[in-house]
Amino acid sequence: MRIQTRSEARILKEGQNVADAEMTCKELTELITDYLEERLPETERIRFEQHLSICPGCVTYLEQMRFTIKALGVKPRGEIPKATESDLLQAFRSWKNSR
Amino acid sequence: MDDERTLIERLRAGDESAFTEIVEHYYGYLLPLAKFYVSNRAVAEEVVQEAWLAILKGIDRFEERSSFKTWLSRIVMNLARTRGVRESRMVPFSEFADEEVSGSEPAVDPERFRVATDEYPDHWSIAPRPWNAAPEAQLLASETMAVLDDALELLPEAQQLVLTMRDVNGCTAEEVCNVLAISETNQRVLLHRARSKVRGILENHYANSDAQRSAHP
Repeated sequence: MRIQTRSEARILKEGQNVADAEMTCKELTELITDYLEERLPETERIRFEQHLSICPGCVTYLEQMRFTIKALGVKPRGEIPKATESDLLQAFRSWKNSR
Repeated sequence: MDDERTLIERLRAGDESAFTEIVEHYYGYLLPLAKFYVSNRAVAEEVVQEAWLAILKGIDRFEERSSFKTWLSRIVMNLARTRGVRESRMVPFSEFADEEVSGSEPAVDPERFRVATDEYPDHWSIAPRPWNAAPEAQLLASETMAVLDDALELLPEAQQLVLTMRDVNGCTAEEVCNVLAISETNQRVLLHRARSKVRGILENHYANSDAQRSAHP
């Protein structure tokens, strides 16, 4: 973790065009799904990305969200129990014969 | 998998390998749908098994007006619902969704942000630390998978189902909205709340395993 010193943060803050428009970290954590789903309005997306460019904590947060999604995606899905599989094959065969 | 339309044609023609392919492809997708409506996994498995028989009987009547996936989902959900094992499950999914999107539910513990009187309110006071203690391959190992399984079980049920459909089974937002009959906004709120919680659980897990590593190097 890297904590910004106040003076560092102030410099970054002055670099913003509209100080009031700066997104907070808390706001970012609530908008992150809209961002990842590409549902943020353009102006919000810009504020989101501007915040990322000055906030290592939020960059990490975004990486962790992406990792979470990726990890869920490689999780093994429910497998068919062997008994079910053979029951289903039997059912299929009798269905086929009755046609 | 073969092109879906071809597979359906082969199934109608009585091709056993087409049936096996379809069952294998959709089993893991259909099980959580059934599980939402019934009391346990064993009953969910029975429902899905029963559904396959209904699917065979109905396959000639399937018209490609809806997607095959949506059609399968409806059969499973109808069967699971009529099973009515838990009375509360007789209400439509959308009511659970409404309940779970109501109220505020912060993505991150509010105590991790600076207070309102701070010069930078709502900015991190305890920022997340990178999970780079182990290579990604290791992070994706069975230990993480076990944490994810537990995390999913802890989620409120509508969030659990939406997250499973989206991130485990790779459904699109549109498919989830269609199958579960919920609005796009509710779908996204459920997904957001669920993902945020699972991230938090993983964060705790990695923080604890880091602590253990440094205690016992």
